[in-house]
Amino acid sequence: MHRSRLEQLPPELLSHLLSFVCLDSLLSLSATSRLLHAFITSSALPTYAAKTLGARTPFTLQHLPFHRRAPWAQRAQWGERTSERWGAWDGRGAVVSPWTGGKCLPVVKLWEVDHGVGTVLVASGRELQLWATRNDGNLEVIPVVVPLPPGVAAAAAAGRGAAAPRGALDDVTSLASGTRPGEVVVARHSGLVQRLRVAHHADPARRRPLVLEETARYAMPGPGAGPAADGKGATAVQALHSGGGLLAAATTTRLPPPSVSSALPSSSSLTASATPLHTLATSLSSRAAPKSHAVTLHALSSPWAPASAVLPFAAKPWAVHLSPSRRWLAVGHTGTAPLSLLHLDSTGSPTGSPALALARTRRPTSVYGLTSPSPLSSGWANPDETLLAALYDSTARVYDLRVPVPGPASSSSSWDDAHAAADDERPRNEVLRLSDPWSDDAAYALALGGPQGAVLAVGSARNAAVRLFDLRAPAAPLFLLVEAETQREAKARDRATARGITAFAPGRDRSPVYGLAGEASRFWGVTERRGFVLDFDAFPRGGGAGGRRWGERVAYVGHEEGGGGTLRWMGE
Amino acid sequence: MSANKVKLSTSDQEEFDVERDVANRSVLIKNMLEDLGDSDQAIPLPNVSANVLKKVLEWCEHHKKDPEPIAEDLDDNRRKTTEISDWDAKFIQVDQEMLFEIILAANYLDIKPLLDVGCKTVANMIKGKQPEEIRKLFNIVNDFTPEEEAQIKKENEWAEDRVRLLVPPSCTATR
Repeated sequence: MHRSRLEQLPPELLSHLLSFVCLDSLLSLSATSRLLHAFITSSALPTYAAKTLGARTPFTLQHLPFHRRAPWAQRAQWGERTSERWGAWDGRGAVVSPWTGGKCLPVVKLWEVDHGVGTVLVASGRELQLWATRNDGNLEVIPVVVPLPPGVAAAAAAGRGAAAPRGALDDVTSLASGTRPGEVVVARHSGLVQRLRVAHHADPARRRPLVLEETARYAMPGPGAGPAADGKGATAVQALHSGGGLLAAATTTRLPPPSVSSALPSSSSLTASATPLHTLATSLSSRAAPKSHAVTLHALSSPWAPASAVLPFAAKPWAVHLSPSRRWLAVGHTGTAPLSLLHLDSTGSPTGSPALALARTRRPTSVYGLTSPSPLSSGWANPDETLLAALYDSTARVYDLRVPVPGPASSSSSWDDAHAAADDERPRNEVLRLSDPWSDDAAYALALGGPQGAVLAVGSARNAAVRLFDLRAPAAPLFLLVEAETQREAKARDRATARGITAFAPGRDRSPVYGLAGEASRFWGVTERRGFVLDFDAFPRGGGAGGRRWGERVAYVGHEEGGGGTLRWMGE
Repeated sequence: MSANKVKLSTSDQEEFDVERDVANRSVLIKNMLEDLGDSDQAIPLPNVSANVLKKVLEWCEHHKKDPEPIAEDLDDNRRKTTEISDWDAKFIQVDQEMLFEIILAANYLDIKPLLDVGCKTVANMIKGKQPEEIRKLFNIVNDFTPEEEAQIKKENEWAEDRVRLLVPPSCTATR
């Protein structure tokens, strides 16, 4: 049978050739002959889809029949269109759920409720809820029934509901993934930690909620041996993060009043031993209200067992992050060196070497949020060698962990003085510093999402503003920025800022964005009053082009010079 | 034979005396020369005919001073563009038979930049064409049944409402 020259090419060569062909051409070519159709739909289109949007379908959409069963021709086009929407900042927004219990400090986390079913788990006050994507692409808010600690259960039974006086103590402060889908670790203000797993899946058609059962409950012990002397409530958990079979917890323990504390040399020596990161400001504040801070590491399979490591901190740790392969633990706290990195050995214990101070600032500041690229969809950086931080000083910073950390800028040489004079000059290990030129509001939270996981969303302290940066936008790729270090190139690097916008989340809250979670086509976020989504997905909903009629339009301000500063609407 | 000349022998037994710089554009030949050391023997290229090798060597001659390609990492970014330099564009204005021969030869001789020029040229030929036009262009025989053709046409269209129909209405996100 006759075969054209194109069809006679060996498969690896045809595949290479097709990597230069745009999507429209691939589709046309696939409609010419059986051989080309088979080759393109089985190989070229999946590759194309992976290249445009990242290796995976979006986390909360992966269970949709569209993503499971639609032909690759459709999925590749979906990827291309979604990518284009990101490129044009053509998103839509929606309020997913207002909090019924009033204002709170909510928490949001992507969570696999079952194998292959991605959802968003949200804690507002002491309640949990699940956001799931229905098969028609619309969203569903599913209540989650959680066994409450006895004290809370009693208050609830007495009809006090959300207004119970214990309320704040029982508020959820952090969520971490468990060892498998359907399992989650929940920390509350009181220091109570629960490990929960799915007992009954939700059935929205019959209005049945998701029911979680407790598989473990324990009070986070204080930094000393065993639980704090006055029992529950002495140690609060600010943040949790799990990864590689480890659970990291950022804790703060109220110490007995100073008069008692002076009689207890053990607790004061503990504070003194934790001084490498100490600052005047924090030592003053600790004198005013005696507290001790620590980051503890636990085995995720038995988190109630004594911590495998207790790392004392002089200042309050706000965020903890374990690398995907648990090679390091990053801790965000307050001070002039607010970001500490500890290397872990193969057993997950900290190596003996002291914590690295990744960031140094002239004025004390805080790191409130930490993240690293997802190993599943990172086309722009090595997940295990990259760390992103949200700072109180309004910036978001990207660190390349392969680059040696510069020493403290306290040396007396004139060259160093000149360097120190430049306010907070970017050190070599910091490859990007991202900020909104029109706002110096603190950065409270951050998350990666978008094509190749290369869009960074930063939650700001006011007006429910979410700053979005396309990290692929800098003039040169990141790895070049790291390696090129002549004076001229360093200057060019400083000018290289990622293209960004600041979007105002639906609901028009004045509050901060306390939490963010990202996936290939959406960012999920929470403010003190509601949860929202910023959606760039091309999945068709409600018959509108590219889901354009779905949700509501989103206001934003561009960061670029010239056109910046004017309020615009996405997609218009 | 001088140290900077290399002898190449084609599938049709023609021999070419080539400058070493020029021959080195081919990773295959470069590696062979490194393995063989200095030798008067002609390097056999059984997969390349004389008229194609002549054309390939013309490209190598023009590009002999090009810097070594940079890290592989850049590859993906560069691949996305289908731009071709002016000289290469003129060079690759050949009949289709020769175009595919150059692609095959560049692949065999491991001359990646030339291979990419060839592939980009084919990609540019396809751009903006309907299936029927592409068939004519490359002499592809349509072996679809009319039903198959209709089905593929449907799959390749991105019609918002129709995609919804691909999604069965029942079942829920969380089982």
